Amino acid sequence: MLRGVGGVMIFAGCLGLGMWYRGQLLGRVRALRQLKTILELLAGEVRYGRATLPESCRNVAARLEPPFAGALRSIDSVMKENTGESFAGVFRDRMREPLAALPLKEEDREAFLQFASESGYMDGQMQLRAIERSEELMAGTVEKLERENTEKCRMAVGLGAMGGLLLILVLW
Amino acid sequence: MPVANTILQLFPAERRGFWKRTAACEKDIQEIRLRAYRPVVIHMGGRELFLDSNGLFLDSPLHAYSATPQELEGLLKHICHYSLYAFEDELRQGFITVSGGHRVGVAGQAVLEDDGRLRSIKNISYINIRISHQVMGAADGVISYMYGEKGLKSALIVSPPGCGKTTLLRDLIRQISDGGAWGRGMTVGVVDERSELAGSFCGVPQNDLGMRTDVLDACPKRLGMLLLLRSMSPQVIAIDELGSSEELEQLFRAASCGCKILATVHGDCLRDVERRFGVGREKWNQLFDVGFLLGRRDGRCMMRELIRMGESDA
Repeated sequence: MLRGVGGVMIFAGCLGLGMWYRGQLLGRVRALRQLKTILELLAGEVRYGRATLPESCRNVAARLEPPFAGALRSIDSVMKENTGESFAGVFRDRMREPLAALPLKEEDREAFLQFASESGYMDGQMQLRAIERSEELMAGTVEKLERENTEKCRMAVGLGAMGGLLLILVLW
Repeated sequence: MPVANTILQLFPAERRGFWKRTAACEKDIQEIRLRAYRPVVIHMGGRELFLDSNGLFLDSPLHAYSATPQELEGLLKHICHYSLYAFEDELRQGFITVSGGHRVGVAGQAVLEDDGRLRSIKNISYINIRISHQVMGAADGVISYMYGEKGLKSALIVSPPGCGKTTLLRDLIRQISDGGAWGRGMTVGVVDERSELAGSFCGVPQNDLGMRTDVLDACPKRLGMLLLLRSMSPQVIAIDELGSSEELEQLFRAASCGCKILATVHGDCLRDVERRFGVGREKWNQLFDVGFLLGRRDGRCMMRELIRMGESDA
């Protein structure tokens, strides 16, 4: 009886590990999509509203959920306080925390933050291109991950289950 | 917010230490002029001063601190919230009004459209920061001439540049709008084409123009007067620097709607203005009841002459 319970627990644990890994893979795609949406909204504000970057952050915040809504709102507040810090510095600083909470790789975070360092163009089209470049980098990663993920997810869950069974057999 | 703060806030964090001393003298500063590879010039209390490398005042340009193009670029980016594209129209006009009502004028290399119109200015190498000083009570000396038996009179302020016509108009608007011992408060519509009267920044006036004043910011006067008449039904229309016959025509239209007019115009005397507009004294008298001719004496702005114009009820 005890052996049976132990076996079930080992199987459940290994399967869970596989599921967790699958979740991580899918979570990165979800997070990248979320960041891409933020960039699309910012680009929309620049394109149609001719809003300044801090203003765009405030307007976009109204359409987002926490923690990004709070972070974007605080970027606008800090820029309004006018402490003399650059937009790039404030954007990086305020976005650090919400980005750290997402299952992203460092390169994803950098791709998202890249446009902020390229602020200050005289021409609106150039500023839009800077945002779109970040967007394209993320879209490329999402596309690549989606291609690979179906296989990887199946393999993660499968390996988890098989590993569990193998462990049960070894320990039986 | 104290003016020193708004001056200091024009500069990025890394340059604030340098500008601290200058910003502390906010009351006397009229202009800060920065030119690439040229000494920084401060116009203060009628004098021209320079800065050393620590930001301390110098009387002579020898050993004075010169601004670098990178510094000018950083300053402009900071002023524009790192979003120069959002200030494209303002830059095309050559100036940006910033928090505190200060005006930042820019010059550099013009970029033209195919049809010869100005598209933008690049390589900005000259920045002129004009510090806004609202002088509360600047109109105390003339407010009594503004009211007659039938109430408020229409007034024209004539003055050469730099003699305080905008300052006088701004305070007249405030006093007429708020009302007081001189008369009841009235609804004033201001067409602030160059953002000088209200000093609006992001649509919010930085100067006090009174509680019954509506401001149409950055709108050509010719269009703005009509728009205000339709939308805000003002009792008084105020414009700064009347400059064309079309604007004069619109003022006549506003007056025919029963509005009182407050306007300023460049000129050494009323005859000079008549000549420039090609409009005789009779016409001006139909529009305005009283005129104030401003000038300078011993470096101070003052009213040189009170001109009796229409004054039907005086």
